[in-house]
Amino acid sequence: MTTSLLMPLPAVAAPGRSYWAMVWYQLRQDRMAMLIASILLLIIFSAIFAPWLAPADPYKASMLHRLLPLGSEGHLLGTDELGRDMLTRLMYGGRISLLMGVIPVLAAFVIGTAIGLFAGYMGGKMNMIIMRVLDVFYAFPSVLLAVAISGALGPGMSNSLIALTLIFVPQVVRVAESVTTQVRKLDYIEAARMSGAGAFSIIRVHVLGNVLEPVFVYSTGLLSISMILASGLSFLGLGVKPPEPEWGLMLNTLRSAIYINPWLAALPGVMIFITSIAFNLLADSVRSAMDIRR
Amino acid sequence: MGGSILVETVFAWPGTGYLLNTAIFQRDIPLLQGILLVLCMFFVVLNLLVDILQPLIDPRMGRN
Repeated sequence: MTTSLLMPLPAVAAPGRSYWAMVWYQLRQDRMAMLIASILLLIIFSAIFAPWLAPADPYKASMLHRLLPLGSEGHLLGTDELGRDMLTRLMYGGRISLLMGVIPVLAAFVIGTAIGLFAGYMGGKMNMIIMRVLDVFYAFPSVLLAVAISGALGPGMSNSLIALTLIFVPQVVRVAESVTTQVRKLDYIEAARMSGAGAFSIIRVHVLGNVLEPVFVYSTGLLSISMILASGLSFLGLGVKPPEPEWGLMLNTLRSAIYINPWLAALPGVMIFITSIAFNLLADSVRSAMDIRR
Repeated sequence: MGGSILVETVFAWPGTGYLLNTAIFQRDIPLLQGILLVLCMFFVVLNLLVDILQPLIDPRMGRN
Protein backbone atom coordinates (compact mmCIF):
# COMPACT_ATOMS: atom_id res chain seq x y z
CA MET A 1 0.00 0.00 0.00
CA THR A 2 2.77 2.42 0.78
CA THR A 3 4.20 2.07 -2.73
CA SER A 4 1.04 3.58 -4.25
CA LEU A 5 1.55 6.69 -2.17
CA LEU A 6 5.02 7.14 -3.59
CA MET A 7 3.83 6.83 -7.18
CA PRO A 8 3.99 9.96 -9.35
CA LEU A 9 1.13 12.37 -9.07
CA PRO A 10 -1.76 12.00 -11.53
CA ALA A 11 -1.53 13.72 -14.88
CA VAL A 12 -3.95 16.50 -13.92
CA ALA A 13 -1.39 18.21 -11.76
CA ALA A 14 1.57 17.22 -13.90
CA PRO A 15 1.83 20.02 -16.48
CA GLY A 16 3.50 22.63 -14.32
CA ARG A 17 3.14 25.26 -16.99
CA SER A 18 4.06 28.79 -16.16
CA TYR A 19 1.51 31.57 -16.18
CA TRP A 20 2.73 32.99 -19.50
CA ALA A 21 2.57 29.56 -21.14
CA MET A 22 -1.05 29.32 -20.01
CA VAL A 23 -1.78 32.77 -21.45
CA TRP A 24 -0.14 31.81 -24.72
CA TYR A 25 -2.14 28.58 -24.82
CA GLN A 26 -5.38 30.47 -24.18
CA LEU A 27 -4.50 33.02 -26.84
CA ARG A 28 -3.82 30.29 -29.40
CA GLN A 29 -7.34 28.93 -28.90
CA ASP A 30 -8.74 32.33 -29.87
CA ARG A 31 -9.08 32.24 -33.67
CA MET A 32 -9.88 35.94 -33.96
CA ALA A 33 -6.79 36.88 -31.97
CA MET A 34 -4.59 34.70 -34.16
CA LEU A 35 -6.03 36.24 -37.34
CA ILE A 36 -5.45 39.76 -36.05
CA ALA A 37 -1.97 38.86 -34.84
CA SER A 38 -1.08 37.52 -38.28
CA ILE A 39 -2.32 40.70 -39.98
CA LEU A 40 -0.30 42.76 -37.53
CA LEU A 41 2.77 40.56 -38.05
CA LEU A 42 2.39 41.01 -41.82
CA ILE A 43 2.37 44.79 -41.44
CA ILE A 44 5.34 44.71 -39.05
CA PHE A 45 7.23 42.30 -41.29
CA SER A 46 6.70 44.41 -44.40
CA ALA A 47 7.80 47.50 -42.48
CA ILE A 48 10.98 45.91 -41.13
CA PHE A 49 12.00 44.36 -44.44
CA ALA A 50 10.83 47.31 -46.58
CA PRO A 51 14.24 47.87 -48.26
CA TRP A 52 14.21 44.29 -49.57
CA LEU A 53 10.49 43.85 -50.23
CA ALA A 54 9.51 47.23 -51.64
CA PRO A 55 9.16 47.37 -55.45
CA ALA A 56 10.57 50.89 -55.88
CA ASP A 57 12.60 53.68 -54.33
CA PRO A 58 10.45 55.61 -51.80
CA TYR A 59 12.05 58.95 -52.76
CA LYS A 60 12.15 58.57 -56.53
CA ALA A 61 9.69 61.07 -57.97
CA SER A 62 8.34 61.19 -61.49
CA MET A 63 6.40 64.13 -62.87
CA LEU A 64 4.95 61.97 -65.65
CA HIS A 65 3.35 59.46 -63.28
CA ARG A 66 1.61 61.64 -60.74
CA LEU A 67 -1.46 60.42 -58.87
CA LEU A 68 -1.92 57.23 -60.82
CA PRO A 69 -4.99 55.26 -59.67
CA LEU A 70 -4.87 51.98 -57.76
CA GLY A 71 -3.90 48.94 -59.79
CA SER A 72 -2.04 50.79 -62.53
CA GLU A 73 0.84 49.07 -64.28
CA GLY A 74 4.07 48.96 -62.28
CA HIS A 75 2.42 50.77 -59.37
CA LEU A 76 0.07 48.36 -57.62
CA LEU A 77 -1.32 50.98 -55.25
CA GLY A 78 -0.83 53.95 -57.56
CA THR A 79 1.49 56.92 -57.05
CA ASP A 80 1.36 59.98 -54.82
CA GLU A 81 1.34 63.67 -55.73
CA LEU A 82 5.04 63.58 -56.74
CA GLY A 83 4.80 60.31 -58.65
CA ARG A 84 6.37 58.16 -55.94
CA ASP A 85 5.18 54.56 -55.65
CA MET A 86 2.47 54.32 -52.97
CA LEU A 87 3.04 50.68 -52.02
CA THR A 88 6.70 51.39 -51.35
CA ARG A 89 5.92 54.50 -49.37
CA LEU A 90 3.29 52.75 -47.31
CA MET A 91 5.78 50.00 -46.44
CA TYR A 92 8.49 52.50 -45.51
CA GLY A 93 5.93 54.64 -43.71
CA GLY A 94 5.04 51.70 -41.51
CA ARG A 95 8.54 51.76 -40.07
CA ILE A 96 8.20 55.24 -38.63
CA SER A 97 4.51 54.95 -37.77
CA LEU A 98 4.97 51.69 -35.88
CA LEU A 99 8.04 53.03 -34.08
CA MET A 100 6.06 56.11 -33.08
CA GLY A 101 3.38 53.80 -31.76
CA VAL A 102 5.64 51.45 -29.81
CA ILE A 103 8.53 53.55 -28.45
CA PRO A 104 6.47 56.07 -26.40
CA VAL A 105 4.43 53.25 -24.87
CA LEU A 106 7.56 51.25 -23.99
CA ALA A 107 9.22 54.30 -22.48
CA ALA A 108 6.07 55.21 -20.56
CA PHE A 109 5.77 51.60 -19.40
CA VAL A 110 9.24 51.63 -17.86
CA ILE A 111 9.19 55.18 -16.47
CA GLY A 112 5.56 55.04 -15.36
CA THR A 113 5.92 51.72 -13.56
CA ALA A 114 9.03 52.95 -11.75
CA ILE A 115 7.37 56.18 -10.60
CA GLY A 116 4.14 54.39 -9.72
CA LEU A 117 5.95 51.76 -7.63
CA PHE A 118 7.92 54.46 -5.86
CA ALA A 119 4.86 56.62 -5.16
CA GLY A 120 2.69 53.70 -4.11
CA TYR A 121 5.33 52.12 -1.90
CA MET A 122 6.36 55.34 -0.17
CA GLY A 123 2.76 56.31 0.49
CA GLY A 124 1.83 59.30 2.62
CA LYS A 125 3.05 62.78 1.69
CA MET A 126 5.44 61.63 -1.03
CA ASN A 127 2.63 59.77 -2.77
CA MET A 128 0.38 62.78 -2.57
CA ILE A 129 2.99 65.16 -3.98
CA ILE A 130 3.78 62.88 -6.93
CA MET A 131 0.16 62.11 -7.74
CA ARG A 132 -0.99 65.74 -7.52
CA VAL A 133 1.83 66.81 -9.83
CA LEU A 134 0.76 64.16 -12.31
CA ASP A 135 -2.86 65.25 -11.97
CA VAL A 136 -1.82 68.50 -13.62
CA PHE A 137 -1.22 66.51 -16.79
CA TYR A 138 -4.77 65.21 -16.55
CA ALA A 139 -6.13 68.73 -16.74
CA PHE A 140 -5.09 68.88 -20.40
CA PRO A 141 -6.84 67.00 -23.19
CA SER A 142 -4.19 64.56 -24.45
CA VAL A 143 -4.09 65.68 -28.09
CA LEU A 144 -3.75 69.28 -27.00
CA LEU A 145 -0.93 68.41 -24.61
CA ALA A 146 0.90 66.51 -27.35
CA VAL A 147 0.53 69.43 -29.74
CA ALA A 148 1.60 71.89 -27.05
CA ILE A 149 4.73 69.97 -26.06
CA SER A 150 5.89 69.29 -29.59
CA GLY A 151 4.95 72.86 -30.50
CA ALA A 152 7.09 74.21 -27.68
CA LEU A 153 10.02 71.86 -28.41
CA GLY A 154 9.76 72.43 -32.14
CA PRO A 155 8.79 69.95 -34.86
CA GLY A 156 10.73 66.74 -35.32
CA MET A 157 10.41 63.04 -34.74
CA SER A 158 12.35 62.86 -31.46
CA ASN A 159 10.36 65.76 -30.01
CA SER A 160 7.05 64.15 -30.83
CA LEU A 161 8.33 60.92 -29.23
CA ILE A 162 9.10 62.91 -26.07
CA ALA A 163 5.66 64.55 -26.21
CA LEU A 164 3.85 61.23 -26.53
CA THR A 165 5.89 59.66 -23.73
CA LEU A 166 5.05 62.57 -21.44
CA ILE A 167 1.36 62.04 -22.14
CA PHE A 168 1.37 58.36 -21.34
CA VAL A 169 3.58 58.41 -18.23
CA PRO A 170 0.92 59.86 -15.85
CA GLN A 171 -1.66 57.32 -17.03
CA VAL A 172 0.67 54.37 -16.44
CA VAL A 173 1.74 55.83 -13.10
CA ARG A 174 -1.86 56.03 -11.98
CA VAL A 175 -2.45 52.34 -12.73
CA ALA A 176 0.83 51.22 -11.14
CA GLU A 177 0.31 53.43 -8.09
CA SER A 178 -3.21 52.20 -7.35
CA VAL A 179 -2.17 48.54 -7.50
CA THR A 180 0.94 49.16 -5.39
CA THR A 181 -1.13 50.98 -2.76
CA GLN A 182 -3.52 48.04 -2.57
CA VAL A 183 -0.77 45.42 -2.37
CA ARG A 184 1.41 47.32 0.08
CA LYS A 185 -1.01 46.80 2.97
CA LEU A 186 -1.25 43.02 2.50
CA ASP A 187 0.06 40.65 5.16
CA TYR A 188 2.82 38.99 3.18
CA ILE A 189 4.47 42.31 2.47
CA GLU A 190 4.33 43.00 6.19
CA ALA A 191 5.80 39.52 6.81
CA ALA A 192 8.60 40.15 4.32
CA ARG A 193 9.42 43.45 5.99
CA MET A 194 9.42 41.82 9.40
CA SER A 195 11.84 39.15 8.26
CA GLY A 196 14.26 41.89 7.28
CA ALA A 197 13.73 42.40 3.57
CA GLY A 198 14.72 45.83 2.24
CA ALA A 199 12.35 48.09 0.35
CA PHE A 200 14.01 47.34 -2.97
CA SER A 201 13.79 43.57 -2.66
CA ILE A 202 10.19 43.72 -1.41
CA ILE A 203 9.23 45.79 -4.46
CA ARG A 204 11.17 43.52 -6.81
CA VAL A 205 9.96 40.20 -5.43
CA HIS A 206 6.49 40.85 -4.03
CA VAL A 207 5.07 44.02 -5.56
CA LEU A 208 6.35 44.03 -9.13
CA GLY A 209 4.63 40.76 -10.04
CA ASN A 210 1.27 42.18 -9.02
CA VAL A 211 1.79 45.52 -10.72
CA LEU A 212 3.23 44.29 -14.01
CA GLU A 213 0.09 42.53 -15.20
CA PRO A 214 -2.45 45.40 -15.02
CA VAL A 215 0.15 47.87 -16.30
CA PHE A 216 0.95 45.56 -19.21
CA VAL A 217 -2.73 45.23 -20.10
CA TYR A 218 -3.20 48.98 -19.87
CA SER A 219 -0.13 49.66 -22.01
CA THR A 220 -1.25 47.38 -24.83
CA GLY A 221 -4.37 49.51 -25.03
CA LEU A 222 -2.16 52.60 -25.32
CA LEU A 223 -0.37 51.33 -28.45
CA SER A 224 -3.16 52.26 -30.84
CA ILE A 225 -3.74 55.61 -29.15
CA SER A 226 -0.04 56.37 -29.45
CA MET A 227 -0.05 55.52 -33.15
CA ILE A 228 -3.07 57.69 -33.86
CA LEU A 229 -1.68 60.61 -31.85
CA ALA A 230 1.66 60.29 -33.63
CA SER A 231 -0.09 60.30 -36.99
CA GLY A 232 -2.05 63.34 -35.90
CA LEU A 233 1.15 65.16 -34.96
CA SER A 234 2.78 64.31 -38.30
CA PHE A 235 -0.44 65.34 -40.02
CA LEU A 236 -0.13 68.78 -38.46
CA GLY A 237 3.51 68.89 -39.53
CA LEU A 238 4.90 68.48 -36.00
CA GLY A 239 6.28 65.01 -36.50
CA VAL A 240 8.40 63.73 -39.34
CA LYS A 241 9.81 66.10 -41.97
CA PRO A 242 8.19 65.98 -45.47
CA PRO A 243 10.36 63.83 -47.76
CA GLU A 244 10.24 61.06 -45.16
CA PRO A 245 7.35 58.63 -45.69
CA GLU A 246 5.00 58.44 -42.70
CA TRP A 247 1.31 57.56 -42.73
CA GLY A 248 0.03 60.68 -40.99
CA LEU A 249 2.16 62.95 -43.13
CA MET A 250 1.13 61.15 -46.34
CA LEU A 251 -2.48 61.61 -45.34
CA ASN A 252 -1.83 65.33 -45.13
CA THR A 253 0.03 65.69 -48.44
CA LEU A 254 -2.49 63.57 -50.33
CA ARG A 255 -5.39 65.53 -48.87
CA SER A 256 -5.35 67.97 -51.78
CA ALA A 257 -5.69 65.03 -54.19
CA ILE A 258 -8.96 63.81 -52.70
CA TYR A 259 -11.05 65.17 -55.59
CA ILE A 260 -8.70 63.76 -58.24
CA ASN A 261 -8.19 60.30 -56.79
CA PRO A 262 -10.10 59.71 -53.55
CA TRP A 263 -9.10 56.05 -53.09
CA LEU A 264 -5.45 56.98 -53.24
CA ALA A 265 -5.89 59.78 -50.71
CA ALA A 266 -7.59 57.38 -48.31
CA LEU A 267 -4.84 54.71 -48.37
CA PRO A 268 -2.59 55.98 -45.54
CA GLY A 269 -5.71 56.51 -43.43
CA VAL A 270 -6.78 52.95 -44.13
CA MET A 271 -3.36 51.71 -43.00
CA ILE A 272 -3.57 53.75 -39.77
CA PHE A 273 -7.10 52.43 -39.20
CA ILE A 274 -6.22 48.78 -39.79
CA THR A 275 -3.11 48.87 -37.64
CA SER A 276 -4.67 50.69 -34.71
CA ILE A 277 -7.80 48.53 -34.69
CA ALA A 278 -5.60 45.42 -34.86
CA PHE A 279 -3.61 46.67 -31.85
CA ASN A 280 -6.85 47.34 -29.98
CA LEU A 281 -8.47 43.98 -30.71
CA LEU A 282 -5.27 42.13 -29.89
CA ALA A 283 -5.04 44.02 -26.61
CA ASP A 284 -8.59 42.92 -25.82
CA SER A 285 -7.76 39.28 -26.57
CA VAL A 286 -4.60 39.42 -24.47
CA ARG A 287 -6.60 40.95 -21.65
CA SER A 288 -9.16 38.14 -21.64
CA ALA A 289 -6.43 35.51 -22.04
CA MET A 290 -4.64 36.89 -19.00
CA ASP A 291 -7.75 36.53 -16.86
CA ILE A 292 -7.50 32.72 -16.72
CA ARG A 293 -5.53 32.66 -13.50
CA ARG A 294 -8.57 33.45 -11.40
CA MET B 1 -12.04 68.87 -27.69
CA GLY B 2 -8.42 67.94 -28.41
CA GLY B 3 -9.49 66.83 -31.87
CA SER B 4 -10.58 70.38 -32.71
CA ILE B 5 -7.07 71.29 -33.85
CA LEU B 6 -7.09 68.55 -36.47
CA VAL B 7 -10.62 69.24 -37.69
CA GLU B 8 -10.12 72.98 -37.85
CA THR B 9 -6.87 72.60 -39.76
CA VAL B 10 -8.40 70.20 -42.29
CA PHE B 11 -11.44 72.33 -43.04
CA ALA B 12 -9.70 75.68 -42.49
CA TRP B 13 -12.25 76.77 -39.89
CA PRO B 14 -11.02 79.92 -38.14
CA GLY B 15 -11.23 78.57 -34.58
CA THR B 16 -8.83 78.26 -31.65
CA GLY B 17 -7.39 75.00 -33.00
CA TYR B 18 -6.52 76.64 -36.29
CA LEU B 19 -5.00 79.58 -34.44
CA LEU B 20 -2.97 77.16 -32.31
CA ASN B 21 -1.65 75.49 -35.44
CA THR B 22 -0.55 78.78 -37.00
CA ALA B 23 0.95 79.87 -33.68
CA ILE B 24 3.12 76.76 -33.59
CA PHE B 25 4.49 77.29 -37.05
CA GLN B 26 5.20 80.96 -36.51
CA ARG B 27 6.88 79.98 -33.20
CA ASP B 28 4.59 82.46 -31.46
CA ILE B 29 5.08 81.11 -27.94
CA PRO B 30 3.00 83.73 -26.04
CA LEU B 31 0.03 83.05 -28.33
CA LEU B 32 0.56 79.31 -27.87
CA GLN B 33 0.53 79.71 -24.10
CA GLY B 34 -2.57 81.90 -24.22
CA ILE B 35 -4.56 79.48 -26.36
CA LEU B 36 -3.53 76.55 -24.19
CA LEU B 37 -4.56 78.42 -21.05
CA VAL B 38 -7.99 79.22 -22.50
CA LEU B 39 -8.58 75.73 -23.85
CA CYS B 40 -7.50 74.08 -20.60
CA MET B 41 -9.77 76.40 -18.63
CA PHE B 42 -12.62 75.24 -20.85
CA PHE B 43 -11.62 71.63 -20.32
CA VAL B 44 -11.37 71.91 -16.55
CA VAL B 45 -14.61 73.88 -16.20
CA LEU B 46 -16.46 71.38 -18.40
CA ASN B 47 -15.13 68.48 -16.34
CA LEU B 48 -16.16 70.26 -13.15
CA LEU B 49 -19.62 70.91 -14.59
CA VAL B 50 -20.02 67.25 -15.48
CA ASP B 51 -18.90 66.22 -11.99
CA ILE B 52 -21.44 68.58 -10.44
CA LEU B 53 -24.29 67.57 -12.77
CA GLN B 54 -23.73 63.85 -12.49
CA PRO B 55 -25.24 63.39 -8.97
CA LEU B 56 -28.25 65.49 -10.02
CA ILE B 57 -28.99 63.19 -12.96
CA ASP B 58 -28.08 59.95 -11.22
CA PRO B 59 -28.54 60.17 -7.42
CA ARG B 60 -26.51 57.00 -6.83
CA MET B 61 -23.34 58.90 -7.75
CA GLY B 62 -23.76 61.42 -4.97
CA ARG B 63 -23.76 59.00 -2.07
CA ASN B 64 -20.11 58.07 -2.25
